[in-house]
Amino acid sequence: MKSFFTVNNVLLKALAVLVLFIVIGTIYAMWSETLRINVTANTGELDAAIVTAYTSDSSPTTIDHNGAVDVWPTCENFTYNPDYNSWVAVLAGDLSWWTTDKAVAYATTLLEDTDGDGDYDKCYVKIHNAYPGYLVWFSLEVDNVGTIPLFIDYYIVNGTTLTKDQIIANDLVFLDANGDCQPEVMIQLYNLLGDQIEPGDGRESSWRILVLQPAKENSEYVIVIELVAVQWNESTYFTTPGP
Amino acid sequence: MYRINKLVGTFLALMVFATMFGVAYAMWSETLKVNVTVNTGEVDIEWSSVECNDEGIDPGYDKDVASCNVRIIDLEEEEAAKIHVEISNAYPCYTVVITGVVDNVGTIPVKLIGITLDGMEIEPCTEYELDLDGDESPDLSVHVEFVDLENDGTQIDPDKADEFRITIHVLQDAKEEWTYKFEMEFEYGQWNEVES
Repeated sequence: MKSFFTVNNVLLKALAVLVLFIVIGTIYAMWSETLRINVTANTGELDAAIVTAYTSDSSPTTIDHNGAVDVWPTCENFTYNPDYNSWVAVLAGDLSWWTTDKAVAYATTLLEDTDGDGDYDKCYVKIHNAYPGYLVWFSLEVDNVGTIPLFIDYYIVNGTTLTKDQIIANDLVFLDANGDCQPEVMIQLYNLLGDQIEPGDGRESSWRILVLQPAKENSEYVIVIELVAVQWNESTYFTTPGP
Repeated sequence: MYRINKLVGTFLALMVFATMFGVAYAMWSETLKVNVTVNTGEVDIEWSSVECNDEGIDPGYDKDVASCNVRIIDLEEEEAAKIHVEISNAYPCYTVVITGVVDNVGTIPVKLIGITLDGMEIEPCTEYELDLDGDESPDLSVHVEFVDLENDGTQIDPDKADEFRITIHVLQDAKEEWTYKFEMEFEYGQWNEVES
């Protein structure tokens, strides 16, 4: 009887374990479904391009324009940019211009795709056979060829950063190549800054380039102007929409 | 323990700072460049020829008595042309004409700024009487005339030329046994800076 009881006890334990397995099995056999959310972030592209660039005097046979500025910088106005070995002064002023009777100098443009992304990001403007007083208009159109709205935030002229406020207040940029405080070239930059350019849209700007009296014969003066485009919501011109 | 916490705190603060900086520099941007190159031209004139019409027999006469020598003076500046004139063994009424051609060998049109005779400014097409021996009476009369080859006044375009004629007449008060000499300089400037 005692051994029967012992056997029953063993059976009871085995049954208990079996019941436990069934219960666990039932739990695991419960129908289930997993819902998954795959998040794919496809980023856009910030891409600005120079689509057209031309001058008012692209042919040696086009009659020249001459001009003169109504302000002149002093040594205190100049900032030295060692990377460009150039002195830049920005002054408020204006220039006058007139038509001459001769076709002497001319200015050509060339576009280049330096990063190989299929659009032009660099423009070369070359003024040939220039002389003091020679004035030429240079026009360029900048398009937003990416998918993100952008602003042209600032210009950098031979290393000197120019914001919209500076351009509006002081729009004559004088460049002195030899540090004698006598600039050889002046550029008047019309404002491209602060206008939001939507994808597919563009803005055109026209600048004036004037060769000044201190320019020397048989010389070459180089000016590098950078236009820095940034995504619209990081631009200094971006304003958060109100409630 | 406190020291370790402080170290960890500083590290965390640096990480936060670096992250913020990273976000700031993560702003997408693109730079378009415009390279402007200005190549200037050159103002450069020179004589292509200068000659005197007395090459033997005195002009208007039948004898070889006086002589006229003219030579070009080299100048460092390219915007001027200068000649030296010497009249020897001359006599009253001796008259010679010096003809010279000024070429524009530069790339910019030029226009005559002015003429000087021994430093004195003179005008074209005007007769000047000169006292070169200092006796307070005129010895020579000089008249400069431009021959406008291009019909554009004193302006000379690149690769073009203008001609001038200097007429020298020996006056009655000229000294005997005296050599009269003078220098004449023609200064040119880029055409758009010289008033007509």
